Amino acid sequence: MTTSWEATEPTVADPPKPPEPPDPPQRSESPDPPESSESGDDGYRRLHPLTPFLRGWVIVAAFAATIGRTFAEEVTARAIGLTMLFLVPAAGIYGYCVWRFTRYRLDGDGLRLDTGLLVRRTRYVRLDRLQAVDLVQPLLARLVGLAVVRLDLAGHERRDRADSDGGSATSDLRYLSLGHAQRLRGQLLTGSARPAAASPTAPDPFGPSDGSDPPDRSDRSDGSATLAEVPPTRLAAAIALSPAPWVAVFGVAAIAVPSLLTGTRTGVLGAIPILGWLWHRTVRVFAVGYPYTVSTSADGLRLDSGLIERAHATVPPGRVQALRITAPLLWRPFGWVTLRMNVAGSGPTVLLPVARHDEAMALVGALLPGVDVAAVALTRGPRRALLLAPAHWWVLACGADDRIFVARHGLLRRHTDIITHGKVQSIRLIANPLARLLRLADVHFDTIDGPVRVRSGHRDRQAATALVYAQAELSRLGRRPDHPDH
Amino acid sequence: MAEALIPDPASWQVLPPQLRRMRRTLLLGVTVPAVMLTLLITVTVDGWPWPLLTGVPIAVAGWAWFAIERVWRAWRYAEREDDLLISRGILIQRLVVVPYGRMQLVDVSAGPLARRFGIAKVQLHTAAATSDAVIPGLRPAEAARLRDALTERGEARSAGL
Repeated sequence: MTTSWEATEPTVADPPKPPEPPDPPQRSESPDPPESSESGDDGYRRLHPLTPFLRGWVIVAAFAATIGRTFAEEVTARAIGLTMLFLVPAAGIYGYCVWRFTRYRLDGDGLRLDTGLLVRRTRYVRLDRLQAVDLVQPLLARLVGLAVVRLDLAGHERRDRADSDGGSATSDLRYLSLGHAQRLRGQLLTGSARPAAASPTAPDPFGPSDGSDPPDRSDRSDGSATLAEVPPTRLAAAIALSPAPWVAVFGVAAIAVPSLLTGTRTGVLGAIPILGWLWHRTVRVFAVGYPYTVSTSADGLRLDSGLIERAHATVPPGRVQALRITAPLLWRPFGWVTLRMNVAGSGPTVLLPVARHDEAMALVGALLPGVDVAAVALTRGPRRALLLAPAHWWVLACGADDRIFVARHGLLRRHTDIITHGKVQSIRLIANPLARLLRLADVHFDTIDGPVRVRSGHRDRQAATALVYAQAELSRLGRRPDHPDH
Repeated sequence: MAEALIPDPASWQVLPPQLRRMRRTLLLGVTVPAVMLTLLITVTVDGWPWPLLTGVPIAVAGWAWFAIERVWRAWRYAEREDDLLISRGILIQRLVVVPYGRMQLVDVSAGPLARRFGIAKVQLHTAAATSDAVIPGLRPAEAARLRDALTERGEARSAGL
């Protein structure tokens, strides 16, 4: 197989080119010979020719960082020069080989990805197993107009995630030109959303994009509507009202002020890690969370976020397993909440970093049509549970209607967890020794891993047992194919 | 309202006595060396509190002997039409409901000791890492039957994610 495609590959020896405008829309199995330099006769395509530079650069940087850390004193400029003289071509050759031996092809019902120079590896991604297709643009790639197409698969793919930036080395297509990436994403999503009609020649849901559009607007041609946006002032205020910056400021003060007063410098140095943490919790949160747009699209909710690194994710509504509305204490006067979700695959877990309560409710309504969270009557546990939860007994409450189960907990950070009956993976009743003394029990609703853990809180033992059986019945009905939540 | 849904007590299956026997054998395997060690200490060191030391492993083993019995009795499972119930625990009591349509895979495993005692462990996995549905010991024939039945019903009622 190796020889056959090598023989038919016409552009192998082409030197890497500067980024060019993406090719006109073409189907990977189109009968007419493609004009693109990236597509072979057999339908295989390569990554963008600039890829070796972006990948090889990482090696040089990593090596330089290691050298710099270990031999900071001894290394001379000449040694560095010599190393680079050897390293830069080596990195270039490595990058070229990775690019040269990586190719992909869209088949009828899947994406085939060949990688590996010495150990050939072929990965076949079935389109109906695809949980999400994300476009990620790291800073460097963004500068030259490239993007990473990230394929999220259910379940066992997670153990592969050991790459430098959290992605799976084997299910990422890096790098493609932005126009190509958007087209490929459209093809993959049409294939995965409608497996019966899955075909790479299916019409592009985003319409033809000419590649010269700004990246955030080019695939909005399908009549999508913006559901929620995060204004920068609100995000900045929300970050200022979160505990992290205050903890950091007081921590730095506690460490640095005494040492400044005594004239030693060690304390000031000790404060630097805290400043790094502060940066991570404030500026980075802001850069990731602004601009943040949630909009509808043909495939589900679209999340576009990031100031420096743009991230685009699509969340099909059926993949959302559970939702959590969090209202921290200091946000409550303004009525702001964070909306998080458990989603199958490894998509984003934050749906809205900070939103007004009614915006969050509207989004919940968009994800779970016909569900009214506010209408679900929440009941508290018996009064004797005060012994187990003296401070927050009055917060703990849960309730259910015929579609969802809702639980509320958390004294300072008020959480409201929502799970549809059909998405419950298993139900567990747990009665600890203390709870058994008080005839209490706790009911857990297991879902896909994520930030949301749904539990009923301390309930009467008899009521909890009844709740388990009642929820098992509701979840059985919720799994039926004709049920709206299925 | 939900009393009608609670399964008939007769439909609960208990675990085979081989599991209890295996656990007690393991207990003896730990207790005998412990008693011998404490006896050795009692013989070599004089002084009156030391003979009591031998009583410690014996007391612990005696308590564990009956604890094994109670835990074994408490561990039971019931196959309903659409889900599997597992009830277990004395100190921490648990009741787990796993719908057949949610099962991703069923593991049947038996180590060398378990094989010698003629039991196998059945573990159910769902897409949630937190669901811990496990039946620690069944006769191999029953384990295989349960695995096949669960797999078959899981396929029939499969619900996707």
